[in-house]
Amino acid sequence: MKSTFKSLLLFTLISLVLLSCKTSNENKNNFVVIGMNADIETLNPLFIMQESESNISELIYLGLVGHDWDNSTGNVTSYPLLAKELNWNNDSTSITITLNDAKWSDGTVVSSDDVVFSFDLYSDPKVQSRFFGIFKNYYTKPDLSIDLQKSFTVISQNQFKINFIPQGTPSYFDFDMPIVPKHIFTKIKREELATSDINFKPVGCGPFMLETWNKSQNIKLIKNKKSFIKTDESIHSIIFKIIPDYNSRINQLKKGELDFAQNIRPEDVSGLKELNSFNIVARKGRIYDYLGLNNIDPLKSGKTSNQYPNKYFGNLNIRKALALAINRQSILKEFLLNNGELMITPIAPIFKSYFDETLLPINYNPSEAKNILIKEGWSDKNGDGILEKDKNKFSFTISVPAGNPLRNYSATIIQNNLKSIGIETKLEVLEPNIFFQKMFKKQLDAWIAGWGVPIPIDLKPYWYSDPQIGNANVYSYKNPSIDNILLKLETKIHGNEKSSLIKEFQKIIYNDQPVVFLYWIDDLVAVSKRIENVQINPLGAIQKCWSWELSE
Amino acid sequence: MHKFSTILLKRIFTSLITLFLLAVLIFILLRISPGDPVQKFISPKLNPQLVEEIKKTFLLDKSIEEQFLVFLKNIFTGDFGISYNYRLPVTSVIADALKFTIPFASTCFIIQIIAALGLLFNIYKKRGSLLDRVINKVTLILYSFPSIIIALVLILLFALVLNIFPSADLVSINYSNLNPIEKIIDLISHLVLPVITLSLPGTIVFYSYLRHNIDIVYQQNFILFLQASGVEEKTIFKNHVLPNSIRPVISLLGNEFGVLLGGALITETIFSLPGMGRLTVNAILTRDYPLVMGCAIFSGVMILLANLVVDVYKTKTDGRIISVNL
Repeated sequence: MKSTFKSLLLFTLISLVLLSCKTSNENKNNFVVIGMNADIETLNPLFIMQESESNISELIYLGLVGHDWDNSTGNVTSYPLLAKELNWNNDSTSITITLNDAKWSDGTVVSSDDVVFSFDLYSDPKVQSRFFGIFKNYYTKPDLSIDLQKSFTVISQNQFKINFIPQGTPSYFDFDMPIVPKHIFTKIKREELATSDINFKPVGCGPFMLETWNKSQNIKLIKNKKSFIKTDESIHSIIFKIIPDYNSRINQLKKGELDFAQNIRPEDVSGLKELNSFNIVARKGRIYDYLGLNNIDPLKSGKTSNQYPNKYFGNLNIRKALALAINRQSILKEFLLNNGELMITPIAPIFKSYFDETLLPINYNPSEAKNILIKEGWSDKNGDGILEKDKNKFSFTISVPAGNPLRNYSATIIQNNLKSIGIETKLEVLEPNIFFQKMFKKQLDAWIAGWGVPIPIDLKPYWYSDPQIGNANVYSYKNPSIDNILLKLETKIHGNEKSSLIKEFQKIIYNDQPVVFLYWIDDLVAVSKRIENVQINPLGAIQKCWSWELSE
Repeated sequence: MHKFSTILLKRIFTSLITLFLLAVLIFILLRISPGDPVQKFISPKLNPQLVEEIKKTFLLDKSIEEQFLVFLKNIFTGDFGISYNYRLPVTSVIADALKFTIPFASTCFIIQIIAALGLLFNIYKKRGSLLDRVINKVTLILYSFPSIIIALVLILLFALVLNIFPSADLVSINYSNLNPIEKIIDLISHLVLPVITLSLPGTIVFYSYLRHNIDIVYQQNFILFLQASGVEEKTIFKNHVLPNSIRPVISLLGNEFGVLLGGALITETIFSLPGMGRLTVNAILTRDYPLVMGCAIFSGVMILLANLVVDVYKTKTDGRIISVNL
C-alpha cells in the first residue's frame, strides 16, 4: 500500500507539472491585462468613489465631453464625446448640446431624456450619489437637487440646452458626468439604486461593455460593437486583474501575465526595465505628501468654539524653522530615487500657466532653523538636547498612517532631523481609518499625509478658513488674504487674472508655510511595449483605451 | 441513547448561547472601537451633506441602544443587513466568498490529515532512529516559519525560477475557453502552491501530536502484552496504537477545520484568492459593521459546529465520556 501511495503521488506531481506548462500558453493577441490592488465596489457612475472604479466605469458609461491634457500649457482641453456639438452662448450662461448617434448596449437610442434624467439622479439627495451638492452653477432647489425646469431645455430627442445661473462660472467640468440609461434606471426606486443589480450589470453606450466580473478576481470588458466610437483596430478586451499583494503584481509583470500596472515602487523600476518589455512612465504632479502641523491647539480648541493657536505651530517662524530643518532632498533621493520633486506650494509645476517660478524650494538648513528657534526664545538650558521655553519642552507627536512605507521612512528621517536641532518627536503609527478620523477631527498635533490634487484646480476645500467650506483644511490654517483670493477665483474672471490670483496665492502660502510641503510623488506606471497609443498624463493612466492597439 | 440525546441537546443549547454572546460582544466592540464606517465619504471632493445622508441610510445617526435593538431583531431573523462596501446583502457577499473558501479549506484539511498520516506510516517502524529525529527537527523548523515566508519561497522557487506553477490567482485568464479537463487541470495547478502554504503548518501540528501520542501509547502495558503474544507489528499499529493515539487529536482536527473555514488571510492575499479571510479583514479595516458581524458569526458557527461534531463523534465512540458528562 505504501508503494502504491508513493507511485500515485509521484504520478500526480509529474502530471501537474507537465499539464501546467501546457495551460500557461495563452493567446494574448487581442487583450490586455491590467493589474489592480483591490476589487472595485460598483460600476454605477452614481456611486463611484475610487479612481480604479472610474477607470473602468468610464469605458462603459460615457460623459458628454472628454478631457485632454495640454503639456505645453499645463491646461486641460475638452472635446465632445457623447456630444457631437457643443455651442456656448455669448455670455456663457447656456450651452446647446447635440448628441452623437449613440445606442445603449441593449439597442435603445441615447437621447436628451437620458441626459436630463442622469443629472436629476446625480443631484437627488435620496440617491446619495458622489456628485450630490456640487452643482453650484445650476439652478437648484433648497435640497440642492437641480431644478430641471430651469436648468434644462429639451429641444429634440438628440438636442438640448443647459442653462446656468447668471452669476455662475460654468465650464465643461460642470457636465462631464457619465450619462446613464433612463429606461433602465427609472425602473429602480431611487433609494434602492445603491443596492440594485445595475451596479454589477451595467448597460452603457461606451466603447466597452462588461463581459464578466468575478469578485475579488478579475473584471473583463469586451468591445461594444454597437458603440458609435469606431474601434476596428483596437484591442478586443481588457481584463482588470485583482492582485492585492504588491510583490505578486511585480512577479506577474515580470512573468508577462500583466501588461499594465500603476504605483510601481522606485526600487522595482530598474528590474522591470532590464526585461526590456516595459516602458516605465511617470505620471507627475497629482499626489503630494506633507508634514501637517495643527495651527490650533487640538486639546483646548476642541472643547470650545474658540480657536487657540498651537503653542508650537501657531507661530509662523516656528513653521518656517521646521521647513528648514527637514532634509526633504534626502528622502526624495534615497527612498523615491528621485521619482518626484521637491514641493514648494500646493500648485504643481505641471500647471505651467499657474505655477510661480520665482519661488524656490526651501533648502535644508538646520543651522538657520536653530537660529530662528533661538530668536523665538527656545533654548536648551538643562543640556538634555531638547529645547525648552517657559518650562515647556519642544516635544510633540507625529502621527503616520500604517501601511505606507514612504511615510514611515519619512517620519524616521524627520524625527532624526528635528532631533538634531533640539526638537523631540514621538512617532505614532495609526491604523488608516483611525488616522483619518483623527485628522479630520483636528485631533492630531502633527502628521504625515498627502493629498491628490483635483483637476480642475480647486483650492478652497484645502485652504479656506471656514471649516464648513474648507473641510479639508485640517491644519486650521487661517489667512483672510487667502480667503479673499479663493472667493475671487469663484467669480467670473479672465484667464490672466486667474493666473495672477493663483500666483499671489502661492506667494502667501510660501511665506506662511502652514504645513511643511514635502514632495510631489510620481505615479510610476509600467506599460507593456506591445500596447500602442497609451496616453499617460496628469489626467490619468488608464484613459481612451479604445485607441489602444497591440503591436505585432 | 436517551443519555446521548440529552448531552447533544445540552451542547446545542450552550453553543447557541455562546453564539449569541459572541454576536453581542462583537457588536459592542465594533461600536466602541475607534474608526468610522463613513470615513471614505469624508473627502474634499464630496459634499459634506452627503455624509449625513449616508449615516441615516446606515442607521448610524441613531443611538447605540436603538442600533442594538435593530441588530437583535435582525439577528433572530437571520438578516445581517446590507454591506456598506458592497451594497449587497451580507449573506450573499459571504456566500460568494464561501464558494471558494469551503472547497479550499476542505481540500487543505484532507491533505493535512493524509500527509500527516502518510508520514507517520512511513516513520512509525523507525521511531527513535536518526531519520525520526531529523524529521522531528525539520518539522519544528518548518513550523517556525510564518506562512508568508513559506508562500514567498514557494512562489520564488516554483513560479519564478522553475516556472512550473502559477504565482497567483484562482484560474487562468483564458479559463472560460478551456475544455472541462483543461479547466480542472488549470484550477488544480493554480491551487498547488496555496494549498501547500496553508496545509503545511497543520500537517506538522497533526504529525507532531500523533507522533508524540504514539510514543505514549507504545509504552502502555497492553501494547507490551500484544507484542509478547506475537501479534504482528503492523496489526498492533493499525488496530491499537493508531486509534488510541488519534483520539486526543480529533478535538484539534475539529478546531482546525473550523478555523480554516473562517479564511486564511495571508494565503489569500499573496495568491490573490477570493476567500473569507480577505473579506473579513477588509470589512474590519473599512468598518463595514454588518459584514464584520456576518463574517464573525459565520466563523463562530463553523468553529462551534466543528467542535460539536467532534464531541458527538467522541461521545459515540467512547462510552466513558457519557458517564463522565452525567
